Parts: sequence; C-alpha cells; structure tokens
Amino acid sequence: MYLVVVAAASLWIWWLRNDNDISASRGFREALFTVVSVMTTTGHRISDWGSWHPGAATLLLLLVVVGGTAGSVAGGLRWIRVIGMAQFVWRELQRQLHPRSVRTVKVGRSTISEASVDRMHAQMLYVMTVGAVASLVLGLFGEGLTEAITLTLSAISTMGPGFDEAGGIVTAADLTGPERAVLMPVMLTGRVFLYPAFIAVGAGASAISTAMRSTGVRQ
Amino acid sequence: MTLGVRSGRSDDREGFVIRKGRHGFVVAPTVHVVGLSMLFLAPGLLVALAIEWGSATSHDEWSLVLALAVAAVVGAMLWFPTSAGESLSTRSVFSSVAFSWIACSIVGAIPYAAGSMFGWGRFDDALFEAVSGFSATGSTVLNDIERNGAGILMWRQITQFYGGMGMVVLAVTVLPVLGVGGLSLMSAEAPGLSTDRLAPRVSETARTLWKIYLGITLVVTMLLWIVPGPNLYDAIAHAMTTASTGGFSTYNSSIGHYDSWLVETIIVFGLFFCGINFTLHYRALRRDFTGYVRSADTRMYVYIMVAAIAFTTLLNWIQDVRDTQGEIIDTGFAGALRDSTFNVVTLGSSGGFSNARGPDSLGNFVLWSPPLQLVLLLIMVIGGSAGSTAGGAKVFRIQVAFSYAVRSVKKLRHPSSVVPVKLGHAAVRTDNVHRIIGFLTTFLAITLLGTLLVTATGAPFKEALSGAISAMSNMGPALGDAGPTSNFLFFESRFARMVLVVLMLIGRLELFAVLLMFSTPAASFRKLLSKR
Repeated sequence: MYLVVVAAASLWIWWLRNDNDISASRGFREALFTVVSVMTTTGHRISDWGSWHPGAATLLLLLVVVGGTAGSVAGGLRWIRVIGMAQFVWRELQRQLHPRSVRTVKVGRSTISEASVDRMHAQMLYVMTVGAVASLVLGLFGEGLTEAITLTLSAISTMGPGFDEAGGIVTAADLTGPERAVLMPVMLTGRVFLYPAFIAVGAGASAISTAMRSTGVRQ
Repeated sequence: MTLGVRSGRSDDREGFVIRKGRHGFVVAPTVHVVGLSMLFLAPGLLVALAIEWGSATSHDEWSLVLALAVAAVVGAMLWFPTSAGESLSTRSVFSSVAFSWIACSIVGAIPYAAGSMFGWGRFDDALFEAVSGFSATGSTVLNDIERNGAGILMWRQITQFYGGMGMVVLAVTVLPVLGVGGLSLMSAEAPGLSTDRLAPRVSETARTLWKIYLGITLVVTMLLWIVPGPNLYDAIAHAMTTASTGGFSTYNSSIGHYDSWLVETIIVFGLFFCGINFTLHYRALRRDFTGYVRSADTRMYVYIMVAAIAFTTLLNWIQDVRDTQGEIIDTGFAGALRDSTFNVVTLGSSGGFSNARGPDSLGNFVLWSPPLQLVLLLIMVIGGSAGSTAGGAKVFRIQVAFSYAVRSVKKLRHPSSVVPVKLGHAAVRTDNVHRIIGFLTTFLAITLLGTLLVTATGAPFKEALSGAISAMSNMGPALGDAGPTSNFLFFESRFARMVLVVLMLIGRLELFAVLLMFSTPAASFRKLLSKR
C-alpha cells in the first residue's frame, strides 16, 4: 500500500508538472525524492515544492499528514489508520443497506478490535482539533491562512516546513518567537502521539476537580 | 431529542423495474418518486414563466416553456405507469432521493441553458447554477446577475426554495401508501440524522414541515416588504432564499445592494431561525417553547454563533482591516458589529448572502484577518442544527464526535470502564455514534479529495480548500479570490466546477444517498443477469 502510494503520488506530481520547463527525468527525480521525504516526514528538500503546481503542493501536504507506516520512525497519522478508517466507512455504508448486519473492520487479513477502531477516529478528531486551534493562534500572530494551516499540519506530523500563498517554503526560521512557541507543543503532541498528552491533561483536570471537591468549592 | 434509527426493510426485492404490482402498475419506487418530484417542479416553472412573460425586460419565455414541458411530460411518463409499492427497501430510498435530485437539477438547468444566460454550449455551467440552486448552496457562475430577465432570476430563487425543504419531501406529501419507508425517504433527504414523526401519517408529517417552511417564508416576505428598499418581487425572492438558507440574490451585490441594516437584520434573524430544527418550530407552534432550551444541539448552535460573532466583531473592531488598495477601513464598533454579525450568521447557517457594499467594504470578509477567515471556515463546516434547512456537518454531529473523542481518552485511563457517548444528557446508541463518526470521516475525506482535484486544475490551495468546504456545506462564497464579491468562475477549469457540483449534491444529501445511489440499479442489473 505504502509503496503503491509513493509511486502513484510521484507519477501524479510528475504529470502535473510536466508542462513546466524542466526535463522529464529531473522532474521525476524531484517528485520521487520529495514524495519520499514528505511521507517519511523527513523534510529534506531539493527544490521549493511550495512553488510547484498547486495540485502537487496540496497532495504533498496530505501525504505529510498521513505520514509513514505504523511501527516506523516516520511521523504523521500512519497509513494503517487511514486504511482502518476507510474500512470503517465502508462498513457504515454497508450498514445503511443492511441495518442489522454485523461486520468487523479488517486491515489486510487481521480484524481490528472495536476499541482500536474507536481510538483511530478519536485520534483523527484530536489532530483536527489541535490543528484548528493552533492554526487559529498562528493566524492571530499574523500568519496568513495558507501558512497557518500548512505549518500546523506539518508540525503535527513532525515534518517541519509549510508553504505560503506565493509558493515559497516557510520554515521555523521565518517565524517569530511566539509563533515557534505555539508550534512546540503541537510538535510534541504529534510525536508522542496525542494520547499521553491528553491523558496528562485529563489526569490534571480530574486531580484539580478532586481537590476542589474536597475543599468544598464544588458541591 | 430522540435519535431515531433510520429503519427500513433491508430486503432487496424491489429493483428498478422488476415485477408487476397489484393494479397492473409496475412496481418501481425509484422511477415513481423521480417522476413525482419532476412533476412538482411544474408549478414553480409556471410562476417563473408568468413573471418572465409579464416583465418588460424579459426575453427568455421559451426556455421556461421548454423546461415546463420536459418536467410535465417526462415526469408524467415516469410517474403514471409505475407505483411505489407498499413499502420501500432501504436501497430504493437512497436511489429514489439521489436520482430525483439529479433529474430535477437537469430540468432546472434547462431554462439557463436554453435561454440567453449560458446557451447550450455551457450546459455544465447551467447545471452548476441549477445544482447550486437546488442544494441551497448559493454559489454562482454568473458574472452579471442583473442582466437576466425577472422570470429567470425568480426561477433561480425558486430552485433554492424547492431544495431547502426538498423535492422528495414534497413528493411524500402525496404518496399515501408509504409507511416506514416514507419516513426514511424523508430522512434520506432532509438535513439531519432523522426526521421526527410529527403526525401519525408520514404524508401529514411532510405536509406539516412544508407548512412551517411556507409560513416562515411568508413572514420574512412581509417583513422585507414593509421595510424601505425591497419591492414585493424582491421581498418574495429573498424570503425564499432566506428560508432555505440558500443565498441566491437577484442582485450582483446580493443584500449589499440595499445597504440597509433593517433588511440585513431581517435576513439575519430569518437565517438564524431556519438553522434550527424544524421539529422545534413545530412544537413552538403548539405553544411548547421549552424545546429550544432543552435541545442540546440548538443550545450549542446558539453558543457557537454568539461566540463567533463576539470574536469577529472584537477583532474587526480592534484590528486594522485594509481594503484592496491598502487603505484602512474605519467603520467603528457599530459597523464592525453589523458586518461581523451578518457574515457569521449567513455562513454559520449556510446561507451565503453577502452584505458587501463593494469589494472595499468590511462586509467583504476576504479582507478580514486570517484567524477570522479560519473561524468562518470552521463555522461553515459545522453548519446548522439537524432537521433544519441549513447545511454543513451539523452541530450535533460535532458534539457527538467530541464526546466520543473524550470517551476514548477516559477509556485509556480506565480501560474496563463503560462510558456512554452523550449528546446533552442523553446517551447516544453505538450504531448511531458509528454512523456519525463514519459521516464525519467521509465528509473530511470527500472534502480533501475535492480540494485535491480542484488544485490539480491549477487553482490555488486557499481558494480550492475553501471552495470545496463551501460546496460540501452548501454555503456559497469561498475565501480569497472566489469570495463574496466574486464568483465561482474564478475556478477557470470546467472540470473543477464539475467537481464542486458533485460536492454540492453529496453535501446536500448528506453523503449516504449519493454514495449508495447506484446500489438499486446494480441490484436490479444483477438480478436480470442471474435470470438469464
């Protein structure tokens, strides 16, 4: 699956950029390198992919979010979750037609437990929420809409750079101090993968509420 | 509120045209409902035709006559020889609704394509305009709206009026035999998870919904008519697109044409009201006003709106908003409040009107600072309440999703605990939770896929993303250069606009109907093959 996506994405980008004045071999090499670099959330680059065709840049951004395969050192949401979610959606569609059917969600041949199906989706929702809040804060510090969204998504999958409307690559070096401070917790939640972070917040909140209850602040 | 299950018969006995019914009719529910929905377009076309004929500037009567003829003849041909049978299978429900919408959109595009608006060579743009109408989206590909005749413009408004409540709900009002299937037919079309039964008979429920809808339209018409500015024609035209939270206007600068805070206030209240569940309006008519307060998603809808209005007003007031020439727009607090409120409500209820008095006024929200545009994108996605005419992912789905996400964290801390997913104080059943999560995941995936396809045609990221979100949530304007004072001709490629047409339909029918529409024809086809 992973390899198929790498090949398909490279070809797609190569095709979109075909009318530009670069040689076919160079175009393909750049495309392949960038796709791999982005999907492994490495962040190396040999050209300013932000200035490529908008379709190419958008595809790369999506690949950043998905990232690598489970159990690898790459960041992102991981492919196994995407496959799991696709299977889940397919099951829901089938359930519309056969409301009383019982089916399991499968990735490859192995069945995924309902609990981990729940976790996958919850994780995606958390990524969305953190992404929305962080982009909002970046926007408040004066970043443009495109920069705010791309930088946050890139940070949450521990890749790094985003792109701006003009097509330039934006890296942390272009940001001000407070903006970097916003991206730090985002990168951390992306790396240790959200749950520990949220559990910590949850544990803190329940500790506070217990303390408040014992002191009689809350009835 | 009750989260009813869309129950239906899951057997697939009924295909397209398979067996003879009791009275010699062919039992083909899909064809029957499609025909009936098309027939229901006739009165609207007739009204538009009358206006076009009577107006001094008009020139496109014959295109409306052609559309009327097609709607009547084809509709009757599909309707008379068929019957819906005694109950609908789940498959037929989805295909009936989806095919009705496609058929109506094609008929609705005829007046635009046959007349001087686009011509047959741009049938795809005519279709865009029609789908944008029926799905109550309000995006347009017209450079100069006012150039067109009064009747044709009225037809644009009427399509949104039809689409707001839905042609299939209209068809159900006269389908007497449908039991459970009829209710699921409405649920498949009406925005929201389920249609609450308001009356013992399904057709009566459908009629009640349409009556409330008509009532709101009448009230808004009267209000718009008595304030200075709109004449009766304008009042009716804009009331119809307010009640349907559509957003089409007969003027190039939309509501900004009047430059009247009175008109804007009426529209804001109308849109806000129509973004709330119609079942609650029905209860309110029965003097039970507690429904509004008790409903968790209505409360959240109000909170979101108020918070978004407060945030945008504050920032628009404090920050220097610069116009296209780089000059600072100074409107003071009142001006900021007026333009922020109007735009938040029109986008939060999926209306899509614009009150910009020109590209350099504060009403043109593409000038606002980036975080405010992000807020606008978020409320576009969230949309209105279930059972209203508003679009978007719907407030209750977001609430359920959050409760679900919180539960997964709780479960990690206490692995064997049993924590229900809640909406307000009520627990939501697991299969409904899964449907909602499946919906949101699909919504996200289709939006991203749409963005990807639109950017592949060369459109920039911001416009493509906001355009896809706008189409999917049936909103209207996008951000950037496809904003409220511009139009969707910004997306130069015809392919990109067709992608948006598909997104509008998928969004209006809440994904499942369109995604499953081919399941009935496929089942019929399989059966035909197996007989051979």
